[in-house]
Amino acid sequence: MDGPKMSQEELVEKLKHQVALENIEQLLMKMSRLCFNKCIIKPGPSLDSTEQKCVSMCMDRYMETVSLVSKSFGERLMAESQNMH
Amino acid sequence: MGDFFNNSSENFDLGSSSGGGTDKFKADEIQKVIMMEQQKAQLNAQIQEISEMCWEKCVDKPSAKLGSKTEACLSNCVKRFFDSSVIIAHRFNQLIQRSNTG
Repeated sequence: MDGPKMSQEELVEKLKHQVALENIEQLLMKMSRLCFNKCIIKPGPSLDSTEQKCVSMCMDRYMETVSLVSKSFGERLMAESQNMH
Repeated sequence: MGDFFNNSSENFDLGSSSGGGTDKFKADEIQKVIMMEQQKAQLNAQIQEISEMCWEKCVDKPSAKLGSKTEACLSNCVKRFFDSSVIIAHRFNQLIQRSNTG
């Protein structure tokens, strides 16, 4: 793979990079599945323009959904941790 | 993750790169980073899962905007999911206690 030795910084960077790649891959897989289900009801010989538009918008809306959910999630976690004290 | 460790452990030389006392410190540091990353990954996985559930419940047909109704639905969805989880946890506890005493 790489050279014989890695510094601690390199190892940590590599770890984070690997995790980030994994996350992106999973997000792409999920969006493909969800938007395919929502937009391509009956697969035809090619994606028509309505389907293409739907898939693009679906991806944009899904990303917004994730950011909304993580905001609500964070707020709830904060509230919860304040209740514990 | 498994791959990553398999590929790297032999490349990462804790023993000879620097003086004796700091090696332990370095290993601890890396352990800490890994634990942090694992926690982040767990949080992220939870967010991804809830996003999918609430997406299915709240978004009908993707359009040019989410819209305030959908946004409210998503935010409620997350909160109610938490509430449900709390109920489940309580209920489960009750069942366990009952089976322990009964």
